[in-house]
Amino acid sequence: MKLALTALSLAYFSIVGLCRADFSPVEYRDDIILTPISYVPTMIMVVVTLLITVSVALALTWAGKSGQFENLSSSAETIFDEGEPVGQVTDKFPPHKPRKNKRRLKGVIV
Amino acid sequence: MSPISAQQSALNPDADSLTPAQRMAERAAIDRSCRTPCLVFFGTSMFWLMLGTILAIIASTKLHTPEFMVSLPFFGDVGLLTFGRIRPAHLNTVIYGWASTAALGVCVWLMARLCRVQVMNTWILVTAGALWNLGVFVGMLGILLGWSTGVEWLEMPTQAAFILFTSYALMSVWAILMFANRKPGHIFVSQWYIFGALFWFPWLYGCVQILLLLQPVEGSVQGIINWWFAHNVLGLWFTPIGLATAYYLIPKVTGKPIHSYYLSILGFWSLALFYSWNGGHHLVNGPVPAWIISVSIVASAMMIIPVVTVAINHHLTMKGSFHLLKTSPTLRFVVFGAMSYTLASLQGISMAFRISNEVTHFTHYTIGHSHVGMYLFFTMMMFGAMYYIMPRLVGWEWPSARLIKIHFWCTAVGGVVMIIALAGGGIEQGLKLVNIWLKEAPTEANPSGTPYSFMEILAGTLPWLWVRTMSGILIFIGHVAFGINFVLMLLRRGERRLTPTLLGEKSSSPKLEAVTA
Amino acid sequence: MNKLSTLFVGIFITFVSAWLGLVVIPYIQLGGLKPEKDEITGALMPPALSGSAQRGRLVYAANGCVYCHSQQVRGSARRLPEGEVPPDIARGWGARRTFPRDYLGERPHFLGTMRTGPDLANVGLRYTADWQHRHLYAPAAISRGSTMPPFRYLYKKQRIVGAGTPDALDFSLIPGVEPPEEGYEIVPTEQARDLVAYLLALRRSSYDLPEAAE
Repeated sequence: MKLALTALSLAYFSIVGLCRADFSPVEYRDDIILTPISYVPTMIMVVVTLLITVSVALALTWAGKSGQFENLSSSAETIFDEGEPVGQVTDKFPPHKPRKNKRRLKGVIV
Repeated sequence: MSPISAQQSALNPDADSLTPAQRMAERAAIDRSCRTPCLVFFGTSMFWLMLGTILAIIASTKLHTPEFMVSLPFFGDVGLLTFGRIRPAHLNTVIYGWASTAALGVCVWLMARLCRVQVMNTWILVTAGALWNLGVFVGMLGILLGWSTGVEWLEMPTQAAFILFTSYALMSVWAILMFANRKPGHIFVSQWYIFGALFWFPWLYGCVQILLLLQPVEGSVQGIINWWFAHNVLGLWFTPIGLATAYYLIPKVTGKPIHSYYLSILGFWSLALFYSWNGGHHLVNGPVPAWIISVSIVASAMMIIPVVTVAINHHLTMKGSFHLLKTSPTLRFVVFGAMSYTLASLQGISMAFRISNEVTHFTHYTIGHSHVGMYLFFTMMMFGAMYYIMPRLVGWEWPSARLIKIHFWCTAVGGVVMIIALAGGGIEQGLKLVNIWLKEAPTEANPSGTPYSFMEILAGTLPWLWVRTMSGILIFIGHVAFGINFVLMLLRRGERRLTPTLLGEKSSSPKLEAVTA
Repeated sequence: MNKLSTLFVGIFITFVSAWLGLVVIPYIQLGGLKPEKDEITGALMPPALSGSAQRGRLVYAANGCVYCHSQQVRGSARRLPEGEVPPDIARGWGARRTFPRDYLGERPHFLGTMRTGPDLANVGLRYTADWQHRHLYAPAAISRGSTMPPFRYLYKKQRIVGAGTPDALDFSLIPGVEPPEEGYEIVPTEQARDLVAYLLALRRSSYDLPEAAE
């Protein structure tokens, strides 16, 4: 499942990459040239990429250690308990009895 | 340890071995503890919703009938009602007044339920709510009186922004306190989203306030930062809250756990990673460096991952429970909202590419797209959440099923018609503006054909805009139905039920009655 | 608590990456941009706005002109046939596309996202001040079929003194609109004068930028 998802997203990424090459016009270029070549953005992008990679690695390590990947269905069940167990529907339209309601309503107001 | 949590731990000596009745009592106590803050947020958000809808109808009418409400009786011509002020007033009212206020209310309730503790420090929330509404009020008045900053999505004068920021900071502090006091156990995916949203939004908002208004940068950089903000309001504030709601309510109402918890985690992190890079696609072909646009287009395309994971997950959770759409008002709105989320995101991805953006940018299509996101997705989600939460707060049924149905059908049909009108009108306008749809096809004598003149293009959009105004009126009727139901409920009109259906069949047990009474 | 802090770190880092990419780097790249100096005349390109035009910017902001009018001449992402110019230029909205340098000093920016009305990047090159005043007062009378709202609240009626105000509206050129009664004239307020001064200063095609040369 995980492998399939990773493969899918990679495939998608490369398709998007290919399509983008097509979308770009021939004369496509950077509009602004301040200095002939500025390496600052590139360097920062590299740093950012590293940061992202590290953070993803961190997050995955933590997730693995703390057992987020084990027993996944139990995480999904944390919102259920004995009072409202799995399988219990908890929402419904109020009953639709307009005429009876009117009479009772008066009683309530008084 | 605060007295409340001491009381709670006395009530639950061992969290894992409680009887159903004790569980229900615990939940009812948590719901009840949300009552004051949630009612403050929901009540005021209803007011802004009504006002925002009225402003929307006025602005929409002005687009095809420019003389509509230009002059007031006795006052003559006033700037207060000009389109250029009504439109931002509408936007700010619905974004900050309705949607954000409702979102904060839902956040409070979800946090309390998911942390499994009663709401503490209610005064922080009430102060934050009061400040928030004050900020929106000052801001809206400022816009109408002509003190707008002129930056889209940030039109409110800086004074109002300061009030809003303070209020939001209070909310964040409260949320951290709640998190710190939560019951041990897994952090449910909705909490991830809420935690992210409560952290991202103040940073975003504070950052742009400084860079655009207090110590403003110049020109094109303003444009980039402006759209980075405006897109992230949707992506990092409304979307996480909307999804947190869906991730909690769909399983809770249907009584089925989320289909794949793994997918929901993947969806969260890919959303966090890609959505925040999307803003640049609002400036495609504009006067900004091309790499910014390219990065944003790639990030927009990558949004397919969080969107598809959420869509698959929700669909598979709902599978086999679609019959409940007939009987559950909450599920109707929430599922409608979740489907619109997929639609809005796929539409957004398709609009991000250079070639499609050239047509749809600068047209009503973009306005339509933002309404798919903000109305059909987020607003419907909030309606659904309020239908679920309100009875549990006040221990009272919604007075009228008929009004709920009117509300749903008017807003759903009105919303869809509005989107169709704006999309259709926008595509026609866009194709004509970039000279793809020509008035006369190219001939040998006239090799590039005759394009439409600007006035002809404008005339072409008018019928679509009329349809849009009509749909706005339909939506307003829906909102009025909701408002009536809401007020009747607060006034405790209608039937007081000993067996409240919305609170679940089992809740008629005498033990819970004792707690709720 | 460990879980929460890791969640926080993840949330922080994902956001900070975008913040660096879309806020900090563009600022580093474009923040140092300076106006170009004309070698012969020494004039700055783009030229600085006059005081009146500066105030006009605020009128433009306060009355929400940006919701219907963009101020950018775009290139095209399509491969256009030989000899064809991008649609914005073909519509007469400018002689060249606009560049970041064209927007120096603009606070707030008015790049815009909507074209219910035409682009205004070069509107100062298209119309005179008198036309602008008449058009702001009664848009539909001046350009037939226009849905622009009338900005009559930026104009005031006053008694004619002496030969009258030079920039009073000439109603013989506004078809179908009732002139004021005898002895009165309609004159622009200070706000309207500033706004028109600003509109007339929008002439981004009137100077050349080095980056415009392909």
